[in-house]
Amino acid sequence: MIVAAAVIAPNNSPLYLSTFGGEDDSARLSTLVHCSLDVVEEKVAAGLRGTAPGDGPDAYLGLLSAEDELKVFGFVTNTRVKLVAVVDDPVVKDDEMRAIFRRMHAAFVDAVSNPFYQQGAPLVSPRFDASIRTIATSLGAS
Amino acid sequence: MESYGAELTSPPLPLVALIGPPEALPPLADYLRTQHTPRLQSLGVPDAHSAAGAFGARKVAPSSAPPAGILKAGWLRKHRTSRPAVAALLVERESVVGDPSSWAWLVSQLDAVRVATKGRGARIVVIITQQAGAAEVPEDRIAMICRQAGIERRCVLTHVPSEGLPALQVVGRVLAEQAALFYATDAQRRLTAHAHRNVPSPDLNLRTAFKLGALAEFRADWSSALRMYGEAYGYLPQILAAAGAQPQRFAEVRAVAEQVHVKLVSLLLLALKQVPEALAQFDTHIRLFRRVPFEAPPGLAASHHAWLCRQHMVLAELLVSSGLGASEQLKREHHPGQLCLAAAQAAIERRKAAAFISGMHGGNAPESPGKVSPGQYVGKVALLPSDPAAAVITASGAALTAALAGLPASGAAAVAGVARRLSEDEFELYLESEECGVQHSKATVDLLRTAQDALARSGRRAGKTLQHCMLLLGHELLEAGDAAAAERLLTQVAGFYRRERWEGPLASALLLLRECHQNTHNLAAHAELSLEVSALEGSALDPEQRSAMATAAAAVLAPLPPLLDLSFGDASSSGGSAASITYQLPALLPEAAQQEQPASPRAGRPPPAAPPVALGWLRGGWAGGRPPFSLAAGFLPGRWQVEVPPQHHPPLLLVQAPESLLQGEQAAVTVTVSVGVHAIQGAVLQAKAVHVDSQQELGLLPTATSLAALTAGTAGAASAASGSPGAAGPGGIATALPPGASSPSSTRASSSAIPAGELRLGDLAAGQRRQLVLLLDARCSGPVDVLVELKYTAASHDVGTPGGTTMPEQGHCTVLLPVQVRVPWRLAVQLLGPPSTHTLLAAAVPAAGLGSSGGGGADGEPGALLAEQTQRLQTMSLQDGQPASAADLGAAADSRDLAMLLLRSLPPSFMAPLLTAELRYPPAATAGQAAALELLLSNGGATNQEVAVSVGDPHGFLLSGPKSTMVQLLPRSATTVTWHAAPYHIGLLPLPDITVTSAQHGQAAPVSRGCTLFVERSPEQVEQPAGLL
Repeated sequence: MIVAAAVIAPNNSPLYLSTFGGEDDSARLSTLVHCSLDVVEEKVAAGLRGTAPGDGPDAYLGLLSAEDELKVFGFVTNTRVKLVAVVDDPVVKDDEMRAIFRRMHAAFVDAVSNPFYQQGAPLVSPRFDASIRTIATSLGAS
Repeated sequence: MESYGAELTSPPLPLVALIGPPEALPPLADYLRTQHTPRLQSLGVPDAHSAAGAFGARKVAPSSAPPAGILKAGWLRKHRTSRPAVAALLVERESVVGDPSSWAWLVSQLDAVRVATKGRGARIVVIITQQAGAAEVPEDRIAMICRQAGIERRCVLTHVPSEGLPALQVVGRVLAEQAALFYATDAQRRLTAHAHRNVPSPDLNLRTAFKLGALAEFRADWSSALRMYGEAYGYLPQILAAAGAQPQRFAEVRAVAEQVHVKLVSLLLLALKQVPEALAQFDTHIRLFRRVPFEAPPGLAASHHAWLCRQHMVLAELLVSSGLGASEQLKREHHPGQLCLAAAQAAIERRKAAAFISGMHGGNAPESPGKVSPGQYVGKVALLPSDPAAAVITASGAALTAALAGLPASGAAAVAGVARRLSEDEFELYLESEECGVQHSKATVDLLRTAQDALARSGRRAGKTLQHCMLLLGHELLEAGDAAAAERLLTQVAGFYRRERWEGPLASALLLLRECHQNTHNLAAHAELSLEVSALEGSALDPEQRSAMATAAAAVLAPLPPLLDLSFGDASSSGGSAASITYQLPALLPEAAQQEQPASPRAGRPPPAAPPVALGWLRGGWAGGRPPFSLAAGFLPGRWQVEVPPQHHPPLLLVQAPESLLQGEQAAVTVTVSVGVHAIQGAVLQAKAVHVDSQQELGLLPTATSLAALTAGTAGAASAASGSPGAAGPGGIATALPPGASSPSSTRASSSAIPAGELRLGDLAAGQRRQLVLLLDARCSGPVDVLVELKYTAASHDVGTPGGTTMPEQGHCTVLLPVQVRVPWRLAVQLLGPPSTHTLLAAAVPAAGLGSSGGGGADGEPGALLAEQTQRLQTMSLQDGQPASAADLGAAADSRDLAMLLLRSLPPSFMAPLLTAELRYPPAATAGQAAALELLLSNGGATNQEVAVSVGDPHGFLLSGPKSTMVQLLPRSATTVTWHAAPYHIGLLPLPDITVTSAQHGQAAPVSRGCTLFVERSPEQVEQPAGLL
């Protein structure tokens, strides 16, 4: 299942970070997500490529890093907002993660479409949080 | 990789025994070792008859008994260094074609070599050396040599040293061929023997595969070696699963796996250059052994972390040595910097486990069960006897008995059996004792520095990982006691995380930095960091912990001012032995509604209704020997006794400590001794801290700086601290007491014995001031009494002599300062202070009229408050139990009068608004566009305030913001609650109902009542009719 999900602004400040693995792991997961931004920057700097010739750039960054049983996957939007998910599932398919990130992206777009939301401010919307939690639990359930 | 022998980290080379005269061997040996391809190692044997021991004997048949272990510990080393594959006999031409005695000598040499090599089937090569131009050796002689040695014709060479390299190449090629032949034959023999075993065993399968792999390496058959090592590693999961929860067996399997893994990875990286396969092998290896498959005892857990650390470091070093350190094709987690970081993290876990072990044994290293040495098998250890000589005699006797009985027990085996296998408990104890003997902090710091360098030099984006590494390094430096270096590093890391706005890692860095400041006794920085940490919602601390931390920090930075400053004036000015006492005491008076009113001298008149709580600054004077206040009043923070010395000007003893301490931390207790007019000699300071509930004595020791100042006698540096003698530093309760020399009513503290904590201050000159800092170890929660006593000899002033002669006089001062040690998560509740200290939105009470003397005001007026205070002071004096004579009673009455007359007005800020709420909003807004509503909450008091803010009817606004929230207001701080309100009606609209409630004081204020906002149409709504027209 997904044990942590994060939305990170283009300037690398966290807009949303939630952990689902218990309080003890929150600091470790937060550090893991933060360190994985090195890989995101590396991949973005190398240029995003499509999955097949002729396709547009693929926003899905794939596996960013792995530590113990945890794997960190990433996704970057057109506005350079990064979506990061930490998975403790030993076997997870890229297609699954790609679908997960698309749903997270849709929830993020809904959240920032709120007229009261200020760009760059932390995402504190309860609805967005609920959406992310639903998405996070759906990976292990499916 | 220095932890491994060369036999694991480098491919083995065939070993050749060169038998011949010592002067003939070096050129050939050097050529074989350095120039020939493949390289050959050689042993020099001067005579064939001494070569018997070099080749060893072959085992008769494999034992049917189950193996005692998986891999023999020295097998690989033995075959690399002391078991030659080829015996090369160097003879001169004269020995072959010479007279019969020379031929006889040659035959004896050949026989000796043949006998020596027969046991293990080593190959024989005969090298006949001759000078250039000499005739060929007759073929019949060569045939006789072949027949005598049992070798083929190609194994007899004629070597002309003067021909140089070509001649050496011929010899080297033949030796390499024969060595490869030997190793191939040996491998085939072992495979056949293994196939004929009756008992299939994964252990034996692994052992055979490993040996076959090593023999393939000897003959440079890398693909076969790789296949056999891979097969050997393939047996490990099966062996590991069958090992069960036996720590010794697990340790053995782990060590064997390490050897096989290192052989595999070094083969793949160094010989075959197959990087992806090597990294895949590493991943498999770590995945298999990442965790101990059962609940590991601490010793085994610590050793496992050390093992994991070694695995990561080995791969990092292999990658660097194979030139792949900066390769772009490496995955991120396989980069040497990341591997070093993973190794450091394992080392950190090992250090924690070792600390746990040390704690289990009371801070001492556990005692090893005995002398433990590596066993005969890889990963096994054996317990040696305490008296080896006696054990050898016993074992030899047993061997002799066995031999007489016809049992096959050799003496060597019996002696080897003296070392016995450890029990699981002994093994755990051995591991624990080993772990406690390691310098963990230094090793971890070195690893982290290596990781830091590797990450910085990686040429890849690793800034955030580098900061994480530096955070870990700062933590380890702090653990190692280098707080200054840790502080520098963590300040840098905290700055990075602040810029990136990552609260979780920032909180980790700040907590460590806070600990650094605590170690360096920088109280202000410690409190500031506490406030910053408590403000981080993304930290791992829960809200209660953060609240407690904030409250404690606020108490340090902006304490309530319960300062007591006593100073004794000149006795001659007040006449007789009476001393005038002036003091400043901001005292919290008890709440009138909850406490019994003191007896009023104006009997029959109801006591005036005072405000709930007042802060008063009082000044007064009392006769000598009369305490200016009483314990019975109950509002003073400590208990003490005042004793007026009759003869000399006493020194002033000042004790400062934080009002509240957090359990588990250390707090600085500052003790200041200020000498008055008369110098004191032989001053001895005794200090101790006693936990009141358990009467347990807590640690109260001087800091290293204070000790050094005492030892070096640098009183000037210590006494140069700023501030007046009676002023307390931030967060301190200052208690200053004059000494008592003769009063029998000394305090209970001064009459008790003070066993420890004695500090000799020595002689102090008049006017000198000395300050010491003691560290209080607040390990128990609850009230703690800090007791400080100063004993000295004073050169007093003789009042009977006008000239002012001096005479020695003993004196002492005692201070008992109670402090509270709080459990962190309860601190917030405990430190909130009197609940009715402030009122929400209170109007200020006019300060006019307060300057008059007490008792003149009406009820509810400030004057009445002064009268109330006066009555309390009277009660204090009357309740003091000291007066025993009429004169004393008269003095008490005088003190009451004096107290009443000298009351001064309260400060103008008294009852100023302390908790205010102000709603800010624009005068007009546009329909459909959000306007900001700001509620500014200000706390001007010295205690935390909790305010609830709730929103009721929005009155035609669409609101975004908190509907109901609790706001914590730190002392002397303000915060703003903001809503964005989008009106959907036009006209003059009342603002949404916003209520601010302070449940603590039972107050609520509808802050938006009566506030209106004019809402205009939006431009679209205005333009729409025009468009229709």
